[in-house]
Amino acid sequence: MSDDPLLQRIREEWSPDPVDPDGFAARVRTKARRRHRVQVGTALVGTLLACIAAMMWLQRDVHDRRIPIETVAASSTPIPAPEAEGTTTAALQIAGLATAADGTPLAGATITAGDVTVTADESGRFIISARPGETVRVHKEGWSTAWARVHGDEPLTIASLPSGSLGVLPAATGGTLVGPDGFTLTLAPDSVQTASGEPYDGDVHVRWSLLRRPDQMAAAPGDLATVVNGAEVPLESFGMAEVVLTDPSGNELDLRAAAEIRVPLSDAHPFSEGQEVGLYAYDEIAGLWTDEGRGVVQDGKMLAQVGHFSWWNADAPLTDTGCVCGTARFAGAGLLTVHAVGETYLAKASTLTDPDDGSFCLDVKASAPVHLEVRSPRGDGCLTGRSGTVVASEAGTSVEIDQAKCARADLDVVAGPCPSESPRSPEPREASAEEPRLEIIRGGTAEELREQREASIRERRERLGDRVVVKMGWRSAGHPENDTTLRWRCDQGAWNESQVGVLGSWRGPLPDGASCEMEVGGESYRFVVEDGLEIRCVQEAGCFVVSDERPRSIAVPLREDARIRLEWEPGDAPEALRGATLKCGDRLEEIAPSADGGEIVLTVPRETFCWIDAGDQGIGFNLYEDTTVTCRYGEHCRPEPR
Amino acid sequence: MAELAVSIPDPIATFDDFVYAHRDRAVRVAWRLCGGDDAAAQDVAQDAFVRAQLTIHTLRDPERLEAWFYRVLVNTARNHNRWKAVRQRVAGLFFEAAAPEATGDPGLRRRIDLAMAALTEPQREVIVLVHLEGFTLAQAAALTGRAEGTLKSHLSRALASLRSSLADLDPGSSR
Repeated sequence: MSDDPLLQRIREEWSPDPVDPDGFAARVRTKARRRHRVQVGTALVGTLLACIAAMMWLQRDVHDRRIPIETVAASSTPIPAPEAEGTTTAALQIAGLATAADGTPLAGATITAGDVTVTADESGRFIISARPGETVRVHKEGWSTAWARVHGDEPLTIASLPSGSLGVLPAATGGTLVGPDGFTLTLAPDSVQTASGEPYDGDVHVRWSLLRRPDQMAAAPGDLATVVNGAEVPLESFGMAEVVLTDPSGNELDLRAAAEIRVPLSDAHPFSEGQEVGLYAYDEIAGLWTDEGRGVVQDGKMLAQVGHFSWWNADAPLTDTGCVCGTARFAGAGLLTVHAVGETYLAKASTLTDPDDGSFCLDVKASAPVHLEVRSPRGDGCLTGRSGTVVASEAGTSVEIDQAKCARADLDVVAGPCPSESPRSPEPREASAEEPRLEIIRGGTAEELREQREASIRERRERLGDRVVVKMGWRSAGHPENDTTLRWRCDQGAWNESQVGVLGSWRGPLPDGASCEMEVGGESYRFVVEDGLEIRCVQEAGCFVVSDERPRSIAVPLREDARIRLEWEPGDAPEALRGATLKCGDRLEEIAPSADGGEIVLTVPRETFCWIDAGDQGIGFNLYEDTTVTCRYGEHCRPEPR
Repeated sequence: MAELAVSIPDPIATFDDFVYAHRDRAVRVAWRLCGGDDAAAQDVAQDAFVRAQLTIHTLRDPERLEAWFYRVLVNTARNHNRWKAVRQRVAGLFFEAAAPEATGDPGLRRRIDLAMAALTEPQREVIVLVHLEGFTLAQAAALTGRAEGTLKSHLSRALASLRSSLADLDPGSSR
């Protein structure tokens, strides 16, 4: 550091007052936890290393299959919620409660975090060793898979729905299964593979769970939100379903070709026949819902084609939001998680209370009724609290909290025994020969169906001419403010662009065999169009072709070079620049002085040394990135990275 | 796919320790970059830690955690200062701006405040990072995203400006 007396004096005198360590740590902890829980967009990949998450995501899509929980857990890193000073991000003992959607305990459920598995007691309570950021899965035969993510030592409450057997289909011929509630699954012939990617031709056992009533919302996995143009947006669901395919031994199977599902919508859905509805899938890695395209409403159901199985959801972004604020406290309990559940619509939200005063605010559907609840295991019992019905304000948001606008709901949190098994506990639907109705609606021999498929391809080629459908997807690495644009052009044609935000994609026809360029996330890539080409890009990880057997990188940056733009202003003394030159590596350009100003643009390899030589003075620098150099008469030329 | 997990670096394991070790310095750097504003410094430093923690997965080399964090901090301070300018412009429509203490002896800290406020943002950043916080010029270039040559120019001008406005603190200056 400089010994200059002036600078020494400034260092001594110009410093802040000492930091209050406890207050500082508490504020960091609160901000981080709130961003983690409420801003799903931030948590999108914030709990995973980008490259690893990217590869798993790519792998999942390559093989069109669910990501095994073992993989999720093994690759989860202990990121996350900051702990109080002196604590560690090593494994914590996390208390939790496994319940049905109505709060009744799920005794005997299996809870998995990483390679640790425990069993819930008769009250549904469990304690598991898990690290912040890890995904915890709850599984019990006859119930839907439930998910939650560890946030510090915050107790978890994880709810499930009854699950039933939809029936059995032969993988070789495919067919259609219809559940008693109208849920329908159609598998194409030879469209199933094992978890390791091998073709599967045995019997496929199908289980499903359906969520279409507000009182089931606690069982919706994760936070019901997605990311649109860089901002977290809560979703309103109109019905969701989980599908699990297994072989007769219970080993999970995956799709290798699209399947068709029909998900019964909620009674209050606003869609008309034939209208499109948002199709979202639950991403177990990111812990949020990802936009997978559109479904179509037919006969009160959403009809959609899906490429893998997880939870699937008919949704629309909940843009018309109001808010509810209040307090929830219990002496010595620290932070509490407050859940808001819609009473007449399918949506939910949750947040953590402020550690100082127990206050909270939640965004919910404007002018619509919700109730708030706290349900958390503590010590030998449970902390519970529930508000009555609260009608949310017609405006307001927790981003810019104006509590005067928000509806108010204070919760009385009490300690007591955890709920025990009760007669009203829903009986899980076991597979039975009678309940599920198996209908082979569409089928045929494998040969017939292959011919149908080839005919479909021929029809598409006739329709598109020499163009083929290409998909390009983008996922940011957890920057909520990211508002990314995907640009592409082919054969040196005009640029096209699509706003993909934090998470998005473009799908459309491009000329077959064309040589194209793509720019996204500050990098550029080249690719050649081929039928069925699908490219996925992940910030920091690069772009990959996922339509191949294994993902291959197309990280062939066009910009291994940098551009320098030298501008000089109009002036009345252009002769000052007469004879001046711009030299970058081997490139030498004369600066032509003019009363009108001017510019020189050069593209040279990165790290080239550039030198502006103006006779008795000059300026030199290494060109690490695109840079603009502005020269004004009477001043030094000023390089600024762009 | 499980083998993918084998090579995962674990930069987070030390993050809590990192926060503890760098809290004071982070607040001090933020305070200086934000022109001596206590509340802003706390906010900026806290936000930088939160932001760093939530995006630490983008850090490829855990050895570079410190440099990476201070780059996050510098960017957070820049954002704060930009919005501060907007807030002040908007507030100026409704409130009379506080009159600067132009005469008398408002205190040395206040004088340094004003001298630092007179610098451009790049000048203030480089003088804070290099001369007040002890980062090397190369480190400051990495933190600010500016070329070293550019920083030298900013440093030179910033020092000249400070020597002019705080000449009485500089025993080496001609009077």
